[in-house]
Parts: sequence; structure tokens; C-alpha cells
Amino acid sequence: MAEANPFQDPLRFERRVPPCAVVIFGANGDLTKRKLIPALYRLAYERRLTQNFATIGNSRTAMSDDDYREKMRESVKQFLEDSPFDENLWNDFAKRLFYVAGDVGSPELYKAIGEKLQMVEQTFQTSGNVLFYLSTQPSHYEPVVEQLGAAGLNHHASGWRRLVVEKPFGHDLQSAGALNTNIQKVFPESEVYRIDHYLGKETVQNILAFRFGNGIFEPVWNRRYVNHVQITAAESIGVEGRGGYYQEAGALRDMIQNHLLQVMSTIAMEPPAYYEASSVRDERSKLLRAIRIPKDHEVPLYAVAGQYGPTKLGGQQLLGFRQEPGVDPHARTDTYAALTFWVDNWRWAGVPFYVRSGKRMPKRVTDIAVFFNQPPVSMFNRDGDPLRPNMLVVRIQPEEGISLRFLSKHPGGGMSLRPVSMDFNYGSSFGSRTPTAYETLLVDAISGDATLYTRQDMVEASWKVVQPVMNRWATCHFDFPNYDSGTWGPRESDEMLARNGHVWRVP
Amino acid sequence: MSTGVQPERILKELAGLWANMSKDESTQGTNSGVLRACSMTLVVAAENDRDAVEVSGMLAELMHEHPSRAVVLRPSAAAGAMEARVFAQCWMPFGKRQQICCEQIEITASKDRLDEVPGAILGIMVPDLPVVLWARGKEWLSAPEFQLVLPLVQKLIIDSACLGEPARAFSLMRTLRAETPYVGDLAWTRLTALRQAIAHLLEDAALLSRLPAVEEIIVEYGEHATSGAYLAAWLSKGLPRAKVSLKHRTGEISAVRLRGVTVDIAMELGVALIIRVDGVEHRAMLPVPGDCDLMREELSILEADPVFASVFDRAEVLAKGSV
Repeated sequence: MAEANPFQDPLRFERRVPPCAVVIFGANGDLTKRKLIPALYRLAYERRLTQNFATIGNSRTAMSDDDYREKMRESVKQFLEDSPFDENLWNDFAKRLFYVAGDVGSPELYKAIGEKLQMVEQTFQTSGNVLFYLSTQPSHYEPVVEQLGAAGLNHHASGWRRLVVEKPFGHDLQSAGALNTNIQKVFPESEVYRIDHYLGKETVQNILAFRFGNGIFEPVWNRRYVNHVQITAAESIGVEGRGGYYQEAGALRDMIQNHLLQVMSTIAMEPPAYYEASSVRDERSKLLRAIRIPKDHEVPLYAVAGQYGPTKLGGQQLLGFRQEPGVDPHARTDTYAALTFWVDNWRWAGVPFYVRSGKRMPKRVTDIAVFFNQPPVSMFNRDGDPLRPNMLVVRIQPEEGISLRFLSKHPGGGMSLRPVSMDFNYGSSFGSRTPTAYETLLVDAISGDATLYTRQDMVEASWKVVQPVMNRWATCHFDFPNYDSGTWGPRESDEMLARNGHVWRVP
Repeated sequence: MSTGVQPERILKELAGLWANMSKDESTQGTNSGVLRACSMTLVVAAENDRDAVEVSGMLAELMHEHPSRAVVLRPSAAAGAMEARVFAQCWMPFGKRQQICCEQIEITASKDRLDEVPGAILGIMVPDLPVVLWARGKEWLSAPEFQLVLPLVQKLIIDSACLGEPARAFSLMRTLRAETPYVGDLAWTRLTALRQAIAHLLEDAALLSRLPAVEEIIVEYGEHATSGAYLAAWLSKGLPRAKVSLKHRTGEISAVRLRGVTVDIAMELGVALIIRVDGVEHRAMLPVPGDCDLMREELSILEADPVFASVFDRAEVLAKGSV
């Protein structure tokens, strides 16, 4: 067994990543330019990368190392969030940035990557550790993994070899299973890191701190006190040039199956025994497996699909989804999806979880609202409107924070109550910059911490939950478009909640 | 003689300050707003007028990461002086539209009215949030009236490098540690970068496996004697079988050597950190932290610091026995 370093001080020392090389497939793509390289640069800026670190990018475009560096330099300058760009630091970072052009289906590419990895290992003492990052289109995942295995790059005599897979993990339950099987022929599950960047968001992690670090919330976090939960992920923009991709995905696949079900599992899971990967992931997985899978005839009751149409908004004519470039004029894609989930366990039995996601909504917002039960007897407003229940809102973006709505006496005579909100704003209470989800997740993967990554059983459980909805929607007729841009979605979505006596809140 | 500091009046002034700031925002037609942020009461006991000005500058920086109600105690030479003024420290976070503002209260007190300070602090500290006291220099720590402030604080931060002779500094700290839940010492904080460099050096598994061969730890300290004692104690805790030598050397440079029959690691910390392992030399830039950097780190730790606690006793023994 390896000796433990007796000089560690986790309270004070920054967690740094161990020596390693990161190989990015799809290195010329949007994700790499907007998120991955800026995140790695930012980690270098904060001196969290060691000197024994290098990045190798791959895409089909022929480019020299210097051309690639220049391209990434521009991307970092453009997409670096909340941070200044430091030319000297970039020059040092760029020395460790390399590029290999080639087709992911060609064995020659992997020979070239192998040679580059050897060079990097000797030059920067990366100890043979390599993180392969699949930032390509999903159809390339299996060829890349297969070729990595065929070239023997999936193992090393002394270093580790890990694989990061971006979503989507399959496009349905069957393809997710097949993808997992093929990946595991080459990489063991313990070395596979399926990234769901929502789990890397500081506020999603803060849900764990909020729930399990405080003593006052868990006692009321159950069916006795919680009436229902609403999870909203709304975007104000449309498909913005991604129409071709999006019409194959839709809101249910693109957002709910992965991000929002992971958020829901964080909100609703049982307390893990420890804060470590297997405990936390076990609980998330258990929750996902406890979600009731709707029968085919129940789908219309529990799921609503929507698609935005053309609208004139703020003096501007906006295209409908079917008019977007690259989109089939008869596309049946859901740009909005709302589902009711029921969790069949002792904690949540009978409590509906409403989850919705849509494009061209009135604003960009992601939040979770936990509605508590009304007091059993109301002393106030006996003849008036029903009192508004207590509500706890966890805001994930854009302004991360938590607010609690409760009733207060209106100043003046009489006993009239009105709701007030008590706000905690994450950004202002801790003025320091919060790391982006990709910074957090990259450090975790390189350090071998899979707590915030999804596991095979979690992926398959979440596909199982939405599969009946996808099956039904694939065959039924929709009267699309059914909502205007700048609204909160189709009328049927409101009706879905109204059947339980609930109303969507306006975030 | 001034009438003194009335907590109610200060709190009223603070409320007025916030009301005015909100009014300014609305009259300027911006709806971005001012966010009031506070995570603790930070009381800073400045040494003198000049120090109080310096502290105010540091607080403006510290507030970004540790938004607080800051209370600066400013000693006054004028007899009978006891007054307070309030103002706000505001900044605009990078890329954001909202200003974040923190409150600052400056209390000027002469020696003859120091006994009023604890009452004033008690009245103006933010309820239910931690109170941290940063005592700069030893003057305040020796004032008997100041001892009344200690029960109010969750963490006391001092710099033992300013407390004079190391053995006495450790004795004083031992007393303070008994009276306050947590004591942070900037002389220890000053070592974080060097300690981290040592820990990182041992990320090399081959070197780590040779560590048990270290027979002697030699720490030669420059100007900060207590830091030298802490460093030697920390190394000794990791290498309990090695003999420890703690020596003073002139100048600012400190040096560490871990020596054995099959291992030789030497470090010299001056402008740069020079590390020699078995004769092979590496250099690294180790920025010299200022008080603001040190405080930023200390304020992030409002709980027990187990590593510091585990080396304190040993450091005291070494300091008392050092040349």
C-alpha cells in the first residue's frame, strides 16, 4: 500500500490535481471552446494545476499546435467568466497545449495520440495518468472508446486512465444500455465519469449542505409537511442555430431525463451515510429507482409536450421552432416538457414533483420550489382568500440563493397577513467568485472523485422513468405549435397541475 | 470629554446609511440595487492612527470574500476620547450589476475610556453571527479592559511575530487559547505556502517512500521566530522519529533540511523557494503573503484547526528550548 503523505492539511491547502494529461476529443467544438479550455485555464490561474499537466486536443480540422493555441486563446478571452485574462499565464498554459488532427474512426489517430502522450509524459512527468474527455458528437463515443481500447491507450503500467462522457448518454433506455456495455468493455465503471454539469453547479451542491448540514429542514422534508415540489428550468432563448441537433433531442431528452432528474434526486434523496462518491450516488440512484414509471395510458395525465410558435415580442418578430434554420417544418419536437413524478417511498408517497423545462420562456431561470402544507387551521382570513403556503425556493441560476416565503402581519390595524420573502443570496454572502461547474467537475475527475458524476445505474434509472413518455409521444399527434414565445408554456401544463389543485408558480 | 459611544445611535446611523443608499439607487434610476452582505462581525484593534488607516484599506479588500460588519478600534492619545462613525464599504463584483456593501464602524477610544469598548462592541455586534477579533500588536492584548472583549469572540487572530520574545509569545497565546474558542496566529498562516510546497514535493511517491529515512530535521529561521518553531513542530509531527534542530539565522531567509543516510531534502526560502533533493535543484516562486492574504485565509477558518492545534504544544517546547 502507498504511504500516506504526513504533511497534508486539507483545511488550508488548495486541492490540486495530480499530474496528468487531458485528451479532448471534439477539441474544436463549442463545449471545448466555451467551457473546457476556459475552465482549465482558470484552474491554472488559481494555481490548482500542477506543472506536470498537459492538454491534447483532437478534431478533424488540420491545425498545428500553434494554430490550435491561438484559437483557444481567443476562446478563453471570449468565454472566461468573471475573471481577467492574463497574457503571461496563458503563454505558460499554452506551452502545455497540443493538438492532433485526425478522424476518430481511424487507428492512425490513436497511434498519433499515443506518441503525443509519450512525449507529454516524458516532458511534463504526467506519470502516465490520462483523462480522455469525449466532447464530440454522441455518435462518436463508441468508435472513440473502441479505438482507445484497440490502441491500448485505456491502460498504463503505473498511471490511471479515465474516461469522461458528456451527455446524452444514449437517446433512450436501450441505447444507453448498449453504450454502457460498450464503454465497459474498454474502461471499468470505476474509471468512467459521466458528466452532468448541473451536479457541478455550486448551488446544486449547496442543496446537500442545506439539507444535511442543518438540523431544521430534514424534519419537515417529507410527505407530512411538503405539499408538492416544482422544478423549473426555463430558457428565454430558442434553439439559436442548434435546430438540427435539438429537433432530435427535445426538452424531455435534453433537460429532464438528465439534469432535472439529477436535481430532483438531490432534493429528494435520503441522507447519505458519508459524503463520498458511493454513498451519495447510492442514495441518488435509490431515489431515481423509486420514481413511479408511468403506464402508457397515464402519460397524458402526467406529461405535457409543447412547441413554441412564431410570435411578435417586444416589437421583434420571433421565429417559431418549425421556422428555425435546419428544423423540419413539420418537426414534432418538444421545446417544452412538463411532467408529474411520484416517488414511491415512505418519505414522498403522495407528494407530486412537477418538473418543467422549456425554450422561449419569459426569462432564463432554474429553480426548485418546495411548497409546504397550509396550517391545519387558519385563525386569520377565515372568510377571505386561502392563505399562501410557506414555500422554500432554491435558485440555481442566474442569481444563486435560497429564499423562504412566509406570512407576516401587514402593518397597521387589523390582522391582515401578507407573504414576505426572506432571501439568502449566495453571491453576496460569499463575495468570492464561485467556480464554474466544469472547473469543479474537471478537478474531481482528475482527482478520482466521482461524487458529482452520474453512474450507469443512475443513467439507466432516469431513462426508465421517461421512456414510457417518449414512447407515447413518438406515436401521438400534437397540435403544435401550442405556446407563444415569452409565455410559460402550453395551457395543458397548467391543467396538469390544476387536476391536483396546484398552480405553477411564476419564477 | 466626548459623550461616548451609544450602540443604539450607531445602529440607527447604520439603518439611515442603508436607507440613503437605497434612495440614491432609486433616484439614479438604476434598478440593479445594493446588496447588503454580512457573514460575521469583524473587530479589528488597530495599533495607532496610521495602522487604522492601513486596516481600513485591508478591510475594503477582505470584505469581498468575507463580508462583515467591521468594527475598527482606533486608539487615541487625546484623553477622554470616545467616539464612533459609520460608513459603508462597497464594491461591484466583476461582471455583476449589483453593488455589494458592508458596514464599517470606527470607534476611537483613549486609554482612559477603554473600559467602555466591550460594552460598545456588545451592543453593535451582528446577532447570531460569529464575532472575530483581530488584535494587531501587543498593546491591546495587555490592556486589562480588553480581556472583557475576549468572551464575546469566537475567534481571536493575532500575529505572534509581533509579540516579542518567542517563549513569552507562546505563553501569552496559551493563555489566550484558554479564554477564546479559537485562536489563529498569522505566524502560522504565513507558513501555509511553504508547507504546501513541502506537501506537494512529497506527492512524488518515490520521495515519499524514502521519508522514513529522515533522521534529522533542521529549521533555520530568519526574522519570524515563532514561525520557525511552528514549522519545526509541524515537520516533527510528520517525522516523529527524527531529531529536531531549531536555529536562528540572521536576515530574512529561512531554511529547512530533512536529512538521513539515504535522503537529503533542503529548502531555502528567500525571494524564491529553492528546493534541493539529493543535490538536484528546483526553484519556485512563492509569493510573500501580506497581512490581507493571511487574514483572508484565517477568516475562512472559523472552526477548529486540527493541524495547528496538534503542533502548538510542540512548537512552544521548541521555542522555549531554541537558541
